[in-house]
Amino acid sequence: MERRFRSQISKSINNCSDYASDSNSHDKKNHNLNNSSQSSKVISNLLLPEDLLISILSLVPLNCLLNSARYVCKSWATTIRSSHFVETCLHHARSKPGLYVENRTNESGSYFLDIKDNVNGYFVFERIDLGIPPRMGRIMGNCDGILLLYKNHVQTFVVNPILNCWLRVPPLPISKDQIDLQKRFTIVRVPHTAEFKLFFIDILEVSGDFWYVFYVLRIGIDNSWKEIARKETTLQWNYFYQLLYNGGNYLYWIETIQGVTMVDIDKEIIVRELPIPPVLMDHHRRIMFLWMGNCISCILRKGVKYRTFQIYNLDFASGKWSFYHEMTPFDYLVACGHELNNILHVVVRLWINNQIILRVVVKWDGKIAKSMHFSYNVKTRQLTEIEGIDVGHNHIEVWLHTNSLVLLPHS
Amino acid sequence: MAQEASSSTSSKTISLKTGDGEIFEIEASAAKQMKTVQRLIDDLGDDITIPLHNVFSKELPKIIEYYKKDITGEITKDFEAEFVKDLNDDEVKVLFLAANYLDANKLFEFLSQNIADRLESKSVEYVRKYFGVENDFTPEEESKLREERAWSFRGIKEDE
Repeated sequence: MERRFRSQISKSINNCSDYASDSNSHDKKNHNLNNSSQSSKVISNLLLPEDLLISILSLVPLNCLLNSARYVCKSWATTIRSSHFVETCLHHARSKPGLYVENRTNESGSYFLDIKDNVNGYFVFERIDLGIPPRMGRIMGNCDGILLLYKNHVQTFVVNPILNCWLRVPPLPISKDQIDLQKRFTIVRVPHTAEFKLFFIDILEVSGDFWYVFYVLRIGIDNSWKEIARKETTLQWNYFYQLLYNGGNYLYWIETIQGVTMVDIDKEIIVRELPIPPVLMDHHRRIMFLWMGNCISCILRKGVKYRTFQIYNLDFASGKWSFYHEMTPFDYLVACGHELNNILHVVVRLWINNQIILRVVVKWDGKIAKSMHFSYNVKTRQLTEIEGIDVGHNHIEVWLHTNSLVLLPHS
Repeated sequence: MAQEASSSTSSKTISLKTGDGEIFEIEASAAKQMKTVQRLIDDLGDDITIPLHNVFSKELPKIIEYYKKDITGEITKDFEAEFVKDLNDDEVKVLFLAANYLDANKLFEFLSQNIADRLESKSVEYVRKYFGVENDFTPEEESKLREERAWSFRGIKEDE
Protein backbone atom coordinates (compact mmCIF):
# COMPACT_ATOMS: atom_id res chain seq x y z
CA MET A 1 0.00 0.00 0.00
CA GLU A 2 1.60 3.17 -1.12
CA ARG A 3 1.38 6.37 0.75
CA ARG A 4 3.29 9.58 0.68
CA PHE A 5 4.20 11.52 3.74
CA ARG A 6 3.68 15.21 3.64
CA SER A 7 6.02 17.55 5.33
CA GLN A 8 3.19 20.05 5.31
CA ILE A 9 1.91 18.37 8.40
CA SER A 10 4.44 20.42 10.19
CA LYS A 11 1.85 22.29 12.13
CA SER A 12 3.03 22.64 15.62
CA ILE A 13 0.72 20.95 18.03
CA ASN A 14 0.70 24.10 20.08
CA ASN A 15 -0.56 26.37 17.38
CA CYS A 16 -4.34 26.28 17.24
CA SER A 17 -4.69 29.02 14.67
CA ASP A 18 -3.91 26.41 12.04
CA TYR A 19 -7.45 25.15 12.32
CA ALA A 20 -8.89 28.42 11.08
CA SER A 21 -6.61 28.56 8.07
CA ASP A 22 -7.19 24.96 7.03
CA SER A 23 -10.84 24.60 7.76
CA ASN A 24 -12.85 24.19 4.59
CA SER A 25 -15.87 25.63 6.23
CA HIS A 26 -16.90 29.06 5.17
CA ASP A 27 -19.33 29.31 7.98
CA LYS A 28 -17.33 30.94 10.71
CA LYS A 29 -20.14 31.26 13.14
CA ASN A 30 -20.18 27.50 13.52
CA HIS A 31 -16.51 27.63 14.24
CA ASN A 32 -17.08 26.39 17.67
CA LEU A 33 -14.05 24.83 19.24
CA ASN A 34 -14.36 22.49 22.15
CA ASN A 35 -14.26 24.38 25.34
CA SER A 36 -12.89 21.40 27.21
CA SER A 37 -9.24 20.96 28.02
CA GLN A 38 -6.67 22.97 26.10
CA SER A 39 -4.63 20.10 24.76
CA SER A 40 -7.52 18.05 23.40
CA LYS A 41 -9.01 21.13 21.73
CA VAL A 42 -5.81 21.81 19.92
CA ILE A 43 -4.92 18.23 18.97
CA SER A 44 -8.33 17.44 17.58
CA ASN A 45 -7.90 20.25 15.10
CA LEU A 46 -5.18 18.56 13.13
CA LEU A 47 -6.47 17.79 9.68
CA LEU A 48 -5.47 14.75 7.70
CA PRO A 49 -4.60 14.95 4.02
CA GLU A 50 -6.66 12.78 1.73
CA ASP A 51 -4.23 9.94 1.28
CA LEU A 52 -3.98 9.41 5.03
CA LEU A 53 -7.75 9.64 5.30
CA ILE A 54 -8.08 6.91 2.70
CA SER A 55 -5.56 4.76 4.58
CA ILE A 56 -7.80 4.85 7.61
CA LEU A 57 -11.21 4.76 5.94
CA SER A 58 -10.34 1.75 3.82
CA LEU A 59 -9.95 -0.22 7.04
CA VAL A 60 -13.31 0.86 8.48
CA PRO A 61 -16.10 -1.71 8.12
CA LEU A 62 -18.48 -1.04 5.24
CA ASN A 63 -21.52 -0.63 7.42
CA CYS A 64 -19.85 2.18 9.31
CA LEU A 65 -18.73 3.82 6.08
CA LEU A 66 -22.23 3.71 4.68
CA ASN A 67 -24.10 4.68 7.83
CA SER A 68 -21.77 7.25 9.37
CA ALA A 69 -18.67 8.21 7.45
CA ARG A 70 -20.60 9.13 4.33
CA TYR A 71 -22.48 11.84 6.18
CA VAL A 72 -19.47 13.54 7.75
CA CYS A 73 -19.05 16.04 4.95
CA LYS A 74 -19.28 16.29 1.17
CA SER A 75 -15.68 15.55 0.41
CA TRP A 76 -15.85 12.36 2.47
CA ALA A 77 -18.99 11.28 0.61
CA THR A 78 -17.15 11.85 -2.66
CA THR A 79 -14.04 9.98 -1.53
CA ILE A 80 -16.06 6.98 -0.37
CA ARG A 81 -17.78 6.85 -3.72
CA SER A 82 -14.61 7.14 -5.78
CA SER A 83 -13.46 4.07 -7.66
CA HIS A 84 -9.93 4.44 -6.27
CA PHE A 85 -11.31 4.11 -2.76
CA VAL A 86 -13.62 1.22 -3.68
CA GLU A 87 -10.70 -0.72 -5.11
CA THR A 88 -8.52 -0.01 -2.07
CA CYS A 89 -11.25 -1.42 0.19
CA LEU A 90 -11.71 -4.45 -2.00
CA HIS A 91 -7.99 -5.05 -1.87
CA HIS A 92 -8.20 -5.27 1.92
CA ALA A 93 -11.42 -7.22 1.95
CA ARG A 94 -10.24 -9.79 -0.52
CA SER A 95 -8.49 -11.61 2.20
CA LYS A 96 -11.63 -11.68 4.32
CA PRO A 97 -14.67 -12.91 2.45
CA GLY A 98 -17.75 -13.97 4.36
CA LEU A 99 -20.75 -16.16 3.63
CA TYR A 100 -23.85 -14.91 1.91
CA VAL A 101 -26.77 -17.11 2.92
CA GLU A 102 -29.47 -17.05 0.28
CA ASN A 103 -32.92 -18.04 1.41
CA ARG A 104 -34.61 -19.16 -1.77
CA THR A 105 -38.00 -19.54 -0.20
CA ASN A 106 -38.09 -16.06 1.28
CA GLU A 107 -35.61 -13.63 -0.32
CA SER A 108 -35.77 -10.99 2.33
CA GLY A 109 -34.64 -13.67 4.73
CA SER A 110 -31.19 -13.73 3.14
CA TYR A 111 -28.29 -12.49 5.21
CA PHE A 112 -24.54 -12.10 5.32
CA LEU A 113 -22.28 -13.83 7.82
CA ASP A 114 -19.11 -11.92 8.57
CA ILE A 115 -16.49 -14.41 9.76
CA LYS A 116 -15.05 -13.15 13.03
CA ASP A 117 -13.17 -16.28 13.91
CA ASN A 118 -12.68 -19.75 12.50
CA VAL A 119 -10.77 -22.08 14.73
CA ASN A 120 -10.93 -25.88 14.94
CA GLY A 121 -13.68 -25.98 12.37
CA TYR A 122 -15.94 -23.69 14.38
CA PHE A 123 -17.08 -20.44 12.88
CA VAL A 124 -17.90 -17.36 14.88
CA PHE A 125 -20.10 -15.14 12.79
CA GLU A 126 -21.56 -11.70 12.98
CA ARG A 127 -24.84 -11.77 11.13
CA ILE A 128 -25.83 -8.82 9.00
CA ASP A 129 -29.26 -8.68 7.44
CA LEU A 130 -28.67 -8.10 3.79
CA GLY A 131 -31.76 -9.30 2.01
CA ILE A 132 -32.21 -9.34 -1.71
CA PRO A 133 -35.26 -7.53 -2.95
CA PRO A 134 -38.13 -9.85 -3.71
CA ARG A 135 -39.10 -10.51 -7.32
CA MET A 136 -35.56 -10.47 -8.61
CA GLY A 137 -35.00 -14.18 -8.69
CA ARG A 138 -32.27 -16.49 -7.53
CA ILE A 139 -28.54 -16.03 -7.25
CA MET A 140 -26.65 -17.58 -10.16
CA GLY A 141 -23.22 -16.34 -9.22
CA ASN A 142 -21.37 -13.52 -7.49
CA CYS A 143 -18.15 -11.59 -7.75
CA ASP A 144 -16.57 -8.76 -5.71
CA GLY A 145 -19.75 -7.92 -3.86
CA ILE A 146 -22.07 -8.08 -6.86
CA LEU A 147 -24.79 -10.75 -7.05
CA LEU A 148 -26.19 -12.06 -10.32
CA LEU A 149 -29.91 -12.72 -9.97
CA TYR A 150 -32.06 -14.59 -12.46
CA LYS A 151 -35.80 -14.91 -12.50
CA ASN A 152 -36.35 -15.54 -16.20
CA HIS A 153 -34.58 -14.57 -19.36
CA VAL A 154 -36.01 -11.06 -19.38
CA GLN A 155 -35.74 -10.53 -15.67
CA THR A 156 -32.09 -10.82 -14.87
CA PHE A 157 -30.31 -8.39 -12.58
CA VAL A 158 -26.97 -7.56 -11.07
CA VAL A 159 -27.25 -6.25 -7.56
CA ASN A 160 -25.04 -4.88 -4.81
CA PRO A 161 -26.99 -5.71 -1.67
CA ILE A 162 -25.02 -3.48 0.64
CA LEU A 163 -25.52 -0.40 -1.51
CA ASN A 164 -29.03 -1.38 -2.52
CA CYS A 165 -28.27 -0.65 -6.15
CA TRP A 166 -29.19 -2.81 -9.11
CA LEU A 167 -29.06 -2.95 -12.86
CA ARG A 168 -31.22 -4.92 -15.23
CA VAL A 169 -29.36 -7.14 -17.69
CA PRO A 170 -30.37 -7.31 -21.37
CA PRO A 171 -32.48 -10.40 -22.19
CA LEU A 172 -30.61 -13.67 -22.30
CA PRO A 173 -30.26 -15.33 -25.70
CA ILE A 174 -31.71 -18.64 -24.60
CA SER A 175 -32.86 -20.87 -27.40
CA LYS A 176 -35.70 -22.37 -25.48
CA ASP A 177 -37.23 -22.17 -22.08
CA GLN A 178 -34.92 -23.70 -19.54
CA ILE A 179 -35.05 -23.84 -15.79
CA ASP A 180 -31.69 -25.09 -14.76
CA LEU A 181 -29.46 -22.17 -15.66
CA GLN A 182 -27.45 -22.03 -12.51
CA LYS A 183 -24.53 -24.03 -13.71
CA ARG A 184 -24.32 -22.26 -17.05
CA PHE A 185 -24.47 -18.64 -16.05
CA THR A 186 -22.11 -16.54 -14.00
CA ILE A 187 -20.55 -13.15 -13.34
CA VAL A 188 -16.82 -12.51 -13.59
CA ARG A 189 -14.46 -9.57 -13.30
CA VAL A 190 -11.49 -9.03 -15.57
CA PRO A 191 -8.51 -8.51 -13.22
CA HIS A 192 -6.63 -5.82 -15.03
CA THR A 193 -9.55 -3.69 -16.18
CA ALA A 194 -11.88 -4.32 -13.22
CA GLU A 195 -14.69 -4.72 -15.74
CA PHE A 196 -17.61 -6.98 -14.86
CA LYS A 197 -18.85 -9.42 -17.47
CA LEU A 198 -21.50 -12.09 -17.63
CA PHE A 199 -20.94 -15.43 -19.32
CA PHE A 200 -23.81 -17.64 -20.35
CA ILE A 201 -23.81 -21.00 -22.08
CA ASP A 202 -26.89 -21.92 -24.02
CA ILE A 203 -27.82 -25.45 -25.04
CA LEU A 204 -28.96 -25.21 -28.63
CA GLU A 205 -30.56 -27.94 -30.64
CA VAL A 206 -30.20 -27.81 -34.41
CA SER A 207 -31.79 -30.72 -36.32
CA GLY A 208 -31.04 -33.24 -33.69
CA ASP A 209 -27.52 -32.03 -32.98
CA PHE A 210 -26.71 -30.26 -29.76
CA TRP A 211 -24.40 -27.31 -29.31
CA TYR A 212 -23.09 -25.41 -26.34
CA VAL A 213 -23.08 -21.77 -27.37
CA PHE A 214 -20.93 -19.40 -25.31
CA TYR A 215 -22.13 -15.82 -24.85
CA VAL A 216 -20.63 -12.80 -23.12
CA LEU A 217 -21.99 -9.44 -22.02
CA ARG A 218 -20.10 -6.49 -20.53
CA ILE A 219 -22.12 -4.99 -17.73
CA GLY A 220 -23.14 -1.40 -18.22
CA ILE A 221 -21.59 -1.33 -21.68
CA ASP A 222 -23.29 -3.88 -23.94
CA ASN A 223 -26.96 -3.83 -24.86
CA SER A 224 -26.93 -7.31 -26.27
CA TRP A 225 -25.10 -10.56 -25.85
CA LYS A 226 -22.24 -11.61 -28.08
CA GLU A 227 -21.55 -15.16 -29.15
CA ILE A 228 -17.91 -16.08 -28.73
CA ALA A 229 -17.80 -19.81 -29.45
CA ARG A 230 -19.83 -22.93 -29.91
CA LYS A 231 -18.97 -26.53 -29.25
CA GLU A 232 -20.82 -29.54 -30.48
CA THR A 233 -21.87 -32.17 -28.01
CA THR A 234 -23.91 -35.30 -27.86
CA LEU A 235 -26.33 -34.70 -25.05
CA GLN A 236 -27.11 -37.65 -22.92
CA TRP A 237 -29.92 -37.71 -20.46
CA ASN A 238 -27.45 -37.87 -17.62
CA TYR A 239 -24.93 -35.30 -18.71
CA PHE A 240 -23.04 -33.24 -16.16
CA TYR A 241 -21.84 -29.66 -16.42
CA GLN A 242 -20.62 -26.87 -14.18
CA LEU A 243 -19.03 -23.42 -14.50
CA LEU A 244 -16.17 -22.58 -12.18
CA TYR A 245 -14.69 -19.16 -11.54
CA ASN A 246 -12.19 -18.08 -8.93
CA GLY A 247 -11.75 -14.37 -9.50
CA GLY A 248 -8.91 -14.61 -11.97
CA ASN A 249 -8.63 -14.15 -15.70
CA TYR A 250 -10.03 -17.55 -16.66
CA LEU A 251 -13.43 -19.16 -16.48
CA TYR A 252 -13.72 -22.96 -16.56
CA TRP A 253 -16.57 -24.86 -18.16
CA ILE A 254 -16.62 -28.49 -17.10
CA GLU A 255 -18.77 -30.96 -18.97
CA THR A 256 -19.20 -34.71 -19.37
CA ILE A 257 -17.98 -35.17 -22.91
CA GLN A 258 -15.77 -32.17 -23.34
CA GLY A 259 -13.85 -32.14 -20.11
CA VAL A 260 -12.50 -28.80 -18.93
CA THR A 261 -12.74 -25.81 -21.27
CA MET A 262 -10.71 -22.80 -20.22
CA VAL A 263 -12.00 -19.39 -21.34
CA ASP A 264 -9.95 -16.19 -21.23
CA ILE A 265 -12.49 -13.69 -19.92
CA ASP A 266 -10.53 -10.69 -21.07
CA LYS A 267 -9.98 -11.78 -24.66
CA GLU A 268 -13.27 -13.69 -24.66
CA ILE A 269 -11.85 -16.78 -26.34
CA ILE A 270 -11.38 -20.43 -25.48
CA VAL A 271 -7.71 -20.95 -24.80
CA ARG A 272 -7.38 -24.53 -23.69
CA GLU A 273 -9.17 -27.83 -23.36
CA LEU A 274 -8.31 -30.57 -20.89
CA PRO A 275 -9.82 -34.03 -20.70
CA ILE A 276 -11.25 -35.56 -17.57
CA PRO A 277 -10.28 -39.16 -16.95
CA PRO A 278 -12.90 -41.94 -17.02
CA VAL A 279 -12.32 -42.71 -13.36
CA LEU A 280 -14.16 -39.47 -12.70
CA MET A 281 -16.47 -38.95 -15.64
CA ASP A 282 -17.93 -42.42 -15.48
CA HIS A 283 -19.42 -41.34 -12.20
CA HIS A 284 -20.95 -38.16 -13.45
CA ARG A 285 -23.81 -38.34 -11.02
CA ARG A 286 -21.46 -38.40 -8.09
CA ILE A 287 -19.02 -35.67 -8.89
CA MET A 288 -18.82 -32.01 -8.10
CA PHE A 289 -16.08 -29.53 -8.91
CA LEU A 290 -14.65 -26.89 -6.66
CA TRP A 291 -11.80 -24.40 -6.47
CA MET A 292 -9.66 -25.38 -3.53
CA GLY A 293 -7.16 -22.57 -3.13
CA ASN A 294 -5.36 -22.33 -6.44
CA CYS A 295 -6.42 -25.69 -7.68
CA ILE A 296 -9.46 -27.15 -9.40
CA SER A 297 -10.63 -30.21 -7.53
CA CYS A 298 -13.11 -32.91 -8.28
CA ILE A 299 -15.00 -34.35 -5.34
CA LEU A 300 -16.19 -37.87 -5.99
CA ARG A 301 -18.71 -39.58 -3.78
CA LYS A 302 -17.93 -43.21 -3.13
CA GLY A 303 -20.69 -45.55 -2.16
CA VAL A 304 -24.32 -44.78 -1.57
CA LYS A 305 -24.31 -43.55 1.97
CA TYR A 306 -22.99 -40.01 1.51
CA ARG A 307 -20.19 -40.53 3.92
CA THR A 308 -17.11 -41.13 1.85
CA PHE A 309 -15.69 -38.69 -0.64
CA GLN A 310 -12.45 -38.53 -2.55
CA ILE A 311 -10.71 -35.44 -3.84
CA TYR A 312 -8.84 -35.34 -7.13
CA ASN A 313 -6.80 -32.32 -8.18
CA LEU A 314 -6.02 -30.96 -11.62
CA ASP A 315 -2.47 -29.99 -12.37
CA PHE A 316 -2.67 -27.19 -14.93
CA ALA A 317 0.86 -27.56 -16.15
CA SER A 318 0.53 -31.19 -17.18
CA GLY A 319 -3.23 -31.22 -17.64
CA LYS A 320 -3.45 -34.36 -15.55
CA TRP A 321 -5.74 -35.26 -12.70
CA SER A 322 -4.43 -37.06 -9.67
CA PHE A 323 -5.83 -38.41 -6.47
CA TYR A 324 -5.27 -36.04 -3.55
CA HIS A 325 -7.21 -37.00 -0.46
CA GLU A 326 -9.83 -39.38 0.76
CA MET A 327 -12.01 -37.73 3.35
CA THR A 328 -12.41 -39.52 6.62
CA PRO A 329 -15.87 -41.08 6.54
CA PHE A 330 -18.37 -38.57 7.81
CA ASP A 331 -19.51 -39.14 11.31
CA TYR A 332 -22.69 -37.11 11.42
CA LEU A 333 -23.42 -38.16 14.96
CA VAL A 334 -20.26 -36.49 16.21
CA ALA A 335 -20.60 -33.52 13.89
CA CYS A 336 -24.16 -32.52 14.70
CA GLY A 337 -25.35 -34.65 17.55
CA HIS A 338 -27.57 -37.04 15.71
CA GLU A 339 -27.38 -39.62 12.97
CA LEU A 340 -28.52 -38.65 9.51
CA ASN A 341 -30.13 -41.60 7.86
CA ASN A 342 -32.27 -40.13 5.14
CA ILE A 343 -29.79 -38.11 3.20
CA LEU A 344 -31.18 -37.00 -0.14
CA HIS A 345 -28.05 -35.38 -1.39
CA VAL A 346 -24.83 -33.64 -0.45
CA VAL A 347 -23.66 -30.58 -2.35
CA VAL A 348 -20.18 -29.15 -2.17
CA ARG A 349 -20.56 -25.39 -2.04
CA LEU A 350 -17.28 -23.62 -1.44
CA TRP A 351 -13.78 -23.65 -0.07
CA ILE A 352 -12.51 -21.43 2.72
CA ASN A 353 -9.60 -21.67 5.18
CA ASN A 354 -8.75 -25.27 4.30
CA GLN A 355 -12.37 -26.26 4.71
CA ILE A 356 -14.92 -27.54 2.27
CA ILE A 357 -18.40 -26.23 3.03
CA LEU A 358 -21.15 -28.73 2.24
CA ARG A 359 -24.89 -28.66 2.24
CA VAL A 360 -26.57 -31.86 3.34
CA VAL A 361 -30.24 -32.30 2.54
CA VAL A 362 -32.11 -34.84 4.59
CA LYS A 363 -35.63 -36.07 4.65
CA TRP A 364 -37.14 -35.02 7.89
CA ASP A 365 -40.43 -35.84 9.47
CA GLY A 366 -41.20 -38.21 6.67
CA LYS A 367 -41.85 -35.69 3.95
CA ILE A 368 -40.08 -32.40 4.38
CA ALA A 369 -36.49 -31.87 3.32
CA LYS A 370 -34.16 -30.05 5.67
CA SER A 371 -30.82 -28.43 4.82
CA MET A 372 -27.85 -28.48 7.13
CA HIS A 373 -24.38 -27.13 6.51
CA PHE A 374 -21.09 -28.68 7.50
CA SER A 375 -17.44 -27.92 7.06
CA TYR A 376 -14.82 -30.57 6.40
CA ASN A 377 -11.26 -29.54 7.23
CA VAL A 378 -8.79 -31.28 4.94
CA LYS A 379 -5.92 -30.76 7.36
CA THR A 380 -7.55 -31.99 10.55
CA ARG A 381 -9.97 -34.31 8.71
CA GLN A 382 -12.73 -33.14 10.97
CA LEU A 383 -16.37 -32.66 10.03
CA THR A 384 -18.23 -29.95 11.95
CA GLU A 385 -21.73 -28.61 11.70
CA ILE A 386 -21.81 -24.89 10.90
CA GLU A 387 -24.12 -23.46 13.44
CA GLY A 388 -24.44 -19.93 12.20
CA ILE A 389 -26.29 -21.00 9.08
CA ASP A 390 -29.93 -21.62 9.83
CA VAL A 391 -31.13 -25.15 9.53
CA GLY A 392 -34.41 -25.13 7.85
CA HIS A 393 -37.04 -26.30 5.52
CA ASN A 394 -36.26 -23.40 3.29
CA HIS A 395 -34.05 -23.93 0.35
CA ILE A 396 -30.78 -22.34 1.47
CA GLU A 397 -27.80 -21.70 -0.76
CA VAL A 398 -24.50 -20.41 0.59
CA TRP A 399 -22.07 -18.24 -1.36
CA LEU A 400 -18.62 -16.95 -0.70
CA HIS A 401 -19.14 -13.19 -0.70
CA THR A 402 -17.10 -10.06 -0.13
CA ASN A 403 -19.08 -6.92 0.55
CA SER A 404 -17.93 -4.05 -1.58
CA LEU A 405 -18.80 -0.49 -2.46
CA VAL A 406 -18.87 -1.16 -6.19
CA LEU A 407 -21.56 1.02 -7.64
CA LEU A 408 -23.27 -0.37 -10.70
CA PRO A 409 -23.35 1.92 -13.73
CA HIS A 410 -26.80 3.37 -14.28
CA SER A 411 -28.67 1.92 -17.22
CA MET B 1 26.50 8.88 21.99
CA ALA B 2 28.86 8.24 19.11
CA GLN B 3 30.27 4.74 18.82
CA GLU B 4 33.50 3.53 17.29
CA ALA B 5 33.14 3.14 13.53
CA SER B 6 34.37 -0.41 13.68
CA SER B 7 31.64 -1.71 15.98
CA SER B 8 28.78 -3.65 14.38
CA THR B 9 25.70 -1.66 13.40
CA SER B 10 23.51 -3.65 15.70
CA SER B 11 25.08 -2.13 18.78
CA LYS B 12 25.21 1.35 17.37
CA THR B 13 22.76 3.92 18.64
CA ILE B 14 21.45 6.99 16.94
CA SER B 15 20.51 10.21 18.72
CA LEU B 16 17.23 11.82 17.85
CA LYS B 17 16.26 15.33 18.88
CA THR B 18 12.55 16.15 19.10
CA GLY B 19 10.90 19.39 18.03
CA ASP B 20 10.80 20.49 21.63
CA GLY B 21 14.49 19.94 22.14
CA GLU B 22 14.73 16.61 23.93
CA ILE B 23 17.18 13.94 22.92
CA PHE B 24 16.44 10.20 22.71
CA GLU B 25 18.57 7.26 21.71
CA ILE B 26 17.55 4.41 19.47
CA GLU B 27 19.31 1.40 18.04
CA ALA B 28 20.53 1.82 14.49
CA SER B 29 18.50 -1.21 13.46
CA ALA B 30 15.35 0.42 14.81
CA ALA B 31 16.21 3.62 12.96
CA LYS B 32 16.29 1.60 9.75
CA GLN B 33 12.55 0.92 10.19
CA MET B 34 11.85 4.65 10.11
CA LYS B 35 12.65 5.61 6.57
CA THR B 36 12.67 9.34 7.25
CA VAL B 37 15.24 8.89 9.97
CA GLN B 38 17.30 6.60 7.77
CA ARG B 39 17.28 9.18 4.98
CA LEU B 40 18.49 11.82 7.37
CA ILE B 41 21.21 9.50 8.61
CA ASP B 42 22.28 8.84 5.04
CA ASP B 43 22.49 12.56 4.41
CA LEU B 44 23.93 13.77 7.69
CA GLY B 45 25.91 10.80 8.95
CA ASP B 46 25.18 8.61 11.94
CA ASP B 47 27.16 10.35 14.62
CA ILE B 48 25.22 13.56 14.39
CA THR B 49 22.07 14.12 16.39
CA ILE B 50 19.20 13.76 13.96
CA PRO B 51 16.66 16.58 14.27
CA LEU B 52 12.97 15.64 14.04
CA HIS B 53 11.08 18.90 13.88
CA ASN B 54 7.62 17.38 13.77
CA VAL B 55 7.89 14.77 16.46
CA PHE B 56 7.77 15.68 20.10
CA SER B 57 8.90 14.31 23.41
CA LYS B 58 5.40 13.16 24.26
CA GLU B 59 5.16 10.62 21.48
CA LEU B 60 8.69 9.67 20.48
CA PRO B 61 9.31 7.39 23.48
CA LYS B 62 6.21 5.38 22.61
CA ILE B 63 7.42 4.99 19.05
CA ILE B 64 10.82 3.93 20.24
CA GLU B 65 9.18 1.41 22.56
CA TYR B 66 7.33 -0.12 19.61
CA TYR B 67 10.40 -0.50 17.45
CA LYS B 68 12.49 -1.85 20.29
CA LYS B 69 10.03 -4.74 20.35
CA ASP B 70 9.98 -4.97 16.61
CA ILE B 71 13.70 -5.49 16.14
CA THR B 72 13.68 -8.39 18.57
CA GLY B 73 10.70 -9.87 16.71
CA GLU B 74 8.50 -9.71 19.77
CA ILE B 75 5.52 -7.84 18.44
CA THR B 76 2.45 -9.93 19.21
CA LYS B 77 -1.26 -9.22 19.20
CA ASP B 78 -1.11 -8.97 22.97
CA PHE B 79 1.70 -6.47 22.87
CA GLU B 80 -0.16 -4.35 20.32
CA ALA B 81 -3.37 -4.46 22.36
CA GLU B 82 -1.49 -3.38 25.45
CA PHE B 83 0.35 -0.69 23.49
CA VAL B 84 -2.83 1.18 22.61
CA LYS B 85 -4.94 0.24 25.58
CA ASP B 86 -4.36 3.39 27.61
CA LEU B 87 -4.16 5.81 24.74
CA ASN B 88 -7.11 8.04 24.06
CA ASP B 89 -8.29 8.79 20.53
CA ASP B 90 -6.29 11.99 20.23
CA GLU B 91 -3.09 10.41 21.46
CA VAL B 92 -3.46 7.68 18.86
CA LYS B 93 -3.95 10.31 16.20
CA VAL B 94 -0.76 12.13 17.20
CA LEU B 95 1.19 8.86 17.09
CA PHE B 96 -0.33 8.05 13.73
CA LEU B 97 0.75 11.37 12.26
CA ALA B 98 4.22 10.93 13.74
CA ALA B 99 4.49 7.43 12.27
CA ASN B 100 3.51 8.89 8.92
CA TYR B 101 6.12 11.64 9.20
CA LEU B 102 8.79 9.15 10.19
CA ASP B 103 7.69 6.82 7.38
CA ALA B 104 7.55 4.00 9.90
CA ASN B 105 5.42 1.59 7.93
CA LYS B 106 4.63 -1.14 10.40
CA LEU B 107 3.56 1.24 13.13
CA PHE B 108 1.61 3.30 10.60
CA GLU B 109 -0.40 0.31 9.44
CA PHE B 110 -1.05 -0.87 12.96
CA LEU B 111 -2.26 2.57 14.05
CA SER B 112 -4.38 3.00 10.90
CA GLN B 113 -6.21 -0.16 11.84
CA ASN B 114 -6.55 0.97 15.42
CA ILE B 115 -8.05 4.31 14.46
CA ALA B 116 -10.42 2.57 12.03
CA ASP B 117 -11.49 0.23 14.82
CA ARG B 118 -12.08 3.13 17.18
CA LEU B 119 -14.21 4.96 14.65
CA GLU B 120 -16.49 2.01 14.15
CA SER B 121 -18.65 2.75 17.13
CA LYS B 122 -18.56 6.53 17.06
CA SER B 123 -21.22 8.98 16.00
CA VAL B 124 -20.96 11.14 12.91
CA GLU B 125 -20.50 14.24 15.04
CA TYR B 126 -17.65 12.66 16.97
CA VAL B 127 -15.91 11.69 13.75
CA ARG B 128 -16.22 15.25 12.50
CA LYS B 129 -14.63 16.63 15.64
CA TYR B 130 -11.91 13.99 15.59
CA PHE B 131 -10.83 14.87 12.08
CA GLY B 132 -11.51 18.58 12.47
CA VAL B 133 -14.07 18.61 9.68
CA GLU B 134 -17.19 20.75 9.39
CA ASN B 135 -20.53 19.48 8.18
CA ASP B 136 -21.19 21.13 4.84
CA PHE B 137 -24.41 19.29 4.02
CA THR B 138 -27.69 21.14 4.09
CA PRO B 139 -30.50 19.13 5.70
CA GLU B 140 -31.98 18.58 2.22
CA GLU B 141 -28.72 17.31 0.80
CA GLU B 142 -28.25 14.98 3.72
CA SER B 143 -31.71 13.47 3.46
CA LYS B 144 -31.26 13.00 -0.28
CA LEU B 145 -28.05 11.11 0.42
CA ARG B 146 -29.85 8.92 2.93
CA GLU B 147 -32.60 8.14 0.46
CA GLU B 148 -30.06 6.74 -1.95
CA ARG B 149 -29.58 3.82 0.36
CA ALA B 150 -33.14 2.67 0.11
CA TRP B 151 -34.07 0.18 -2.59
CA SER B 152 -36.02 1.72 -5.42
CA PHE B 153 -38.08 -0.63 -7.52
CA ARG B 154 -39.25 1.39 -10.41
CA GLY B 155 -39.09 -0.73 -13.50
CA ILE B 156 -39.62 -4.22 -12.16
CA LYS B 157 -42.95 -5.71 -13.13
CA GLU B 158 -44.59 -8.45 -11.12
CA ASP B 159 -44.48 -11.07 -13.82
CA GLU B 160 -43.63 -10.75 -17.45
